[in-house]
Amino acid sequence: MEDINIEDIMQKIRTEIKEKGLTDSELGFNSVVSASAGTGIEYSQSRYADVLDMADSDRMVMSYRDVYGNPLAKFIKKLNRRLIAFYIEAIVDDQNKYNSEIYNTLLMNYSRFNEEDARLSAIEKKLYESEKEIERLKSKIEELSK
Amino acid sequence: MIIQMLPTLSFGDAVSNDCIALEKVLKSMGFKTAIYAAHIDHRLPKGVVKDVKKLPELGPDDIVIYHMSTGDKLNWDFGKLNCKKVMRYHNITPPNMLISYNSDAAGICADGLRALKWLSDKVDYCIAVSEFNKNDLIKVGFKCKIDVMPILIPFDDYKKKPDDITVRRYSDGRTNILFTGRIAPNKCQQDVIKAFTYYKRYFDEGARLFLVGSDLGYENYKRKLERYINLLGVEDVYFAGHISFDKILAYYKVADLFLCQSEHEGFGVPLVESMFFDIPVVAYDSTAIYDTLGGSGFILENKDYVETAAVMNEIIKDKELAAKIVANQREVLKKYDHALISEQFKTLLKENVING
Repeated sequence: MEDINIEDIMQKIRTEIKEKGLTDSELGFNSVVSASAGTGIEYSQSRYADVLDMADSDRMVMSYRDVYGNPLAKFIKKLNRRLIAFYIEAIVDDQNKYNSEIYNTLLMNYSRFNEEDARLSAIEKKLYESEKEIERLKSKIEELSK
Repeated sequence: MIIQMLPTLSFGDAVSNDCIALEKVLKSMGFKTAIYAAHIDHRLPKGVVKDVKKLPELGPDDIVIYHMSTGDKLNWDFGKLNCKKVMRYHNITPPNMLISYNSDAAGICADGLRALKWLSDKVDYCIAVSEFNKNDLIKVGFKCKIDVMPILIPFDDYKKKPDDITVRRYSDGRTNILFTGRIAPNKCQQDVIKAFTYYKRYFDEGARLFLVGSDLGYENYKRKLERYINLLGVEDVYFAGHISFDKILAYYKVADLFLCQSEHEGFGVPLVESMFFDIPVVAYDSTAIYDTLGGSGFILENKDYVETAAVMNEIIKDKELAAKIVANQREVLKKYDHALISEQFKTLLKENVING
């Protein structure tokens, strides 16, 4: 094995860092607002849009279905449907109304998420710049007070 | 009959590749052998692996080599088998490293650790992939004999042709920094990004960083990384994603330095791959990193991002130092030689299981 004196190299590097005044002034990873949920389902913008698309095609529930079978079976099924229509159709209408409201709410959430993402990003950037400015001013104060 | 079992046989991960490589050795020894898995990646060619539900009746003379790397019902089933039980231990990611981003995965790993403890008096023999893993098993309470044998890496595959387009695109004289590995919190890609930020800012403004690896299951972690990149205002950080093998080869081909800040590795195949491609490695000393590098590369004891950036600069600037690091890595690489590890596997098996 070739002999590499890591200690010497590190010493040289540390001296250079000190001389050049290179500092670790950036924010840590924990400063990033986490989007993690811990719900087991992670948010993904494209997946959210896909699910919304699917929900759009499924949100209307029909109370009417084609009936199949021999003429007698078809007649009995149609008769049954007519007998309970007053009960079923009201429930289906309510369900459709509810689905529509939920779907519209989800659409609004989607727009809101996108707006919030952009807003948060801008705030993070501003925060970062402000922190840097504070650091800069702090070191200026220190210099002046010497 | 010697059977290998594992919860998931997937396409391209280190555990699966090790299992497939060991199967070839077992076949060369003339054994009747097969791989059984509970979850099978559909991209694998047919016939490579069988569903564990079709596992034949095993007798006391049969041998099962179980690849332990995560939590699964199969861990518990393995312990109940009436045969010679050999465990190949790849390590389990500590759940606390994953919980913030994937609670399901953290739960699975926690179950894996419980199963590991339960298995401590049920296994006849263990082959750990690193010294670090061996010590882990001892800490858990394993009393059986434990040997260390690295992952069997088919280096011939790395001699295949890399993707031309990627090689041409990034062979433009700019410095390319590389890290390969799943996008996952234990790999600490955020620290790679931060050190790269300082490297680019203080030493080499034209540098690029490639983070190669799938983000499956950790999409929110990747999203947070992207926001961090935005926050740091650093450019030229590329997420390559889960890519084809020839593209991975291309990234190794164009890389000037491999930067690893991972805080949990049971072995570290990408480190060995970097050695193979003569890429100097700068790595933070954690878990099995030192074992894998065998004292080669440039190992950092602390996570000081400015110092890390300065070390990267020193190695890229000082060709003599880089050549020494590569020479040491080549020396260590010899111990991962495919034929050597295959022979070691045969010997361990004969001495401790077949004749043991």
